[in-house]
Amino acid sequence: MEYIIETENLTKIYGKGKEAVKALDNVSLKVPKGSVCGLLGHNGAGKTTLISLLVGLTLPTSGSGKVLGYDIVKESINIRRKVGLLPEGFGFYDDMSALENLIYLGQLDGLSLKDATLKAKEVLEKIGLSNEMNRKVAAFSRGMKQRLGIAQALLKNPELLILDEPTVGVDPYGAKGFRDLIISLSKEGITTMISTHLLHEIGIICDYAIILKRGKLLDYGNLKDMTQKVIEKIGATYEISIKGNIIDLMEKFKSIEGVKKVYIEDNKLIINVSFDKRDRILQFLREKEIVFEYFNERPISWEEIFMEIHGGV
Amino acid sequence: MSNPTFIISKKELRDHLTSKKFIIILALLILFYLALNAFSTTIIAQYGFRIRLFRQLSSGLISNISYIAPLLGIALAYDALSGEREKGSLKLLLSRPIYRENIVNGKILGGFIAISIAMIITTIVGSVSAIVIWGAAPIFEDLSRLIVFTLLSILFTMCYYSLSLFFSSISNKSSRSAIISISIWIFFTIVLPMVSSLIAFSILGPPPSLPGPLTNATTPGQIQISEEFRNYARKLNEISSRINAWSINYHFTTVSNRLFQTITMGPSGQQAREISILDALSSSAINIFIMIFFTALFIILSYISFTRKEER
Repeated sequence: MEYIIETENLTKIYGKGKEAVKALDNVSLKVPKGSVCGLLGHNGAGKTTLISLLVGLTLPTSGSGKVLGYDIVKESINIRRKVGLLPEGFGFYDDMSALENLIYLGQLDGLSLKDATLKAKEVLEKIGLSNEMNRKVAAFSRGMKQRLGIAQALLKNPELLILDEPTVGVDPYGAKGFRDLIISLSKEGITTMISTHLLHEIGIICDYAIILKRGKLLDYGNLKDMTQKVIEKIGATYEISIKGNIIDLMEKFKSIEGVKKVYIEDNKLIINVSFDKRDRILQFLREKEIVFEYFNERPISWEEIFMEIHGGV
Repeated sequence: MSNPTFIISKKELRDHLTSKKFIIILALLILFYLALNAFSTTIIAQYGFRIRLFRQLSSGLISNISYIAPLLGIALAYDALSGEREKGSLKLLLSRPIYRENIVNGKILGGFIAISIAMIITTIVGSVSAIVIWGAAPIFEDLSRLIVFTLLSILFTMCYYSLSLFFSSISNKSSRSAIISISIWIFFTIVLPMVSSLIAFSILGPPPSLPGPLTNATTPGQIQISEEFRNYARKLNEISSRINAWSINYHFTTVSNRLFQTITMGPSGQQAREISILDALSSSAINIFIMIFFTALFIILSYISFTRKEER
């Protein structure tokens, strides 16, 4: 597998002496090319610091890293040539139009004035702001500014797109549009890293995840593998709708080996069973010839997975 | 592919030239000149001085520039870097494939060109208005000195620009950078000259004796100044000059005054010694060096602080 991001014991300490804060602590991870990677963690987990280190906006205290094969310390300018970044808390020049802002930034990306103008119009079209390109950014809504933020990151035809909290402050409609945009970009083959603390976004758009807590890496990997790991740990949960005396059955299910928890919710029997004993539930239903209307394995949400890996704040 | 420094400086220059603060300060500089020229006309009419363009402009030029030009330097630089930080646009700039030095260089180049434009416009308007109001024809010597003076004015304004840029590079808030820069301007322009005189007086004590009227005066009202009083005045000037030498304004006024020391024709026909441009500049080399050093020092400090500052 080809990795687009690789870090080895990456550590960042801000400040010195008593005021020193370890923002990132020995983080070693890999992100495969072509993935949509969710960077998860509460505020202060080290997400923005990790992003800043990856694009060379700040230098690591120790450890090393490579993005697109370039060293994050020695070759950060090459990284910024190929990585589109939407930083957290970014801002445009309000007195300039959307098009003027993009032309300016495109020129700084190394494009000629003519190419920057063409590219700016192209990305504005892609993110659905072409009708607003001559409007001053000051008149833009938060959602429009966020979309313009994506546009500036796309100016350099990035191989990797890093988005730091892209949907913060955006209304639900705008956030959905934003997610759709990221999904369409990932289909174009752009590797994307998206930092967020809105967990429901992860399941929709990501196939890979990195979980940080207070600067430490808790887990990283393919979303399916992570989900499997959590299910194996916490067990599978089944929902069964049964005709008859549900209370009697509840006691019988409790006696099955491996069953951890049985309870009733909305007239349905909810059974949590350890992963390796999950087949016993169906086997029991067959053996006892229990007639059921509905049998389903309850899907595990990303909130549950995250909470299981991350624990409390 | 264009150089990022030039791209940034082009935007910076356009922002400066269209900003209200630039237009207001430029208008102030020009209005000050026009008012001064109008005022000088009255004096010329009353005393009948022969008009020599450069000489007539001198006092107005120096005080105008030494008071108002620092404000231009501060106005253009106080938010140069901190403003980008506040807006969040610095994060977008830093995510481009450019070096941080490109950003500082672009800011300085844009600021330098804007300052040069302001100084050239001010000098041209001041001179043209003097020619129109007084009907004085400028000679080549006058124009040469005006060009040198304009260069010195640009250098002096750049001193305050670099100072303000440094505070902008270390501050997260432009208001803080502006307050510090303006406080330094007030200190150098108003406080230090007053304090230096007070210190000189407190060291030397009261003057030996007040000068009295000259008994054998040929001209009514002429006063006799004793040697002791002359010494006292000389020492007073020396002490206050040494203290004022800590102010960048002092070095600008010193070199400008030397540049302006040229033929003066009064009603009595007295003739002062004329100092050539080269002599004026060479005798003020240390003052010019200090202005260049001051500017360079704060530009270097701005580079160091901006390139090393952690942008979170």
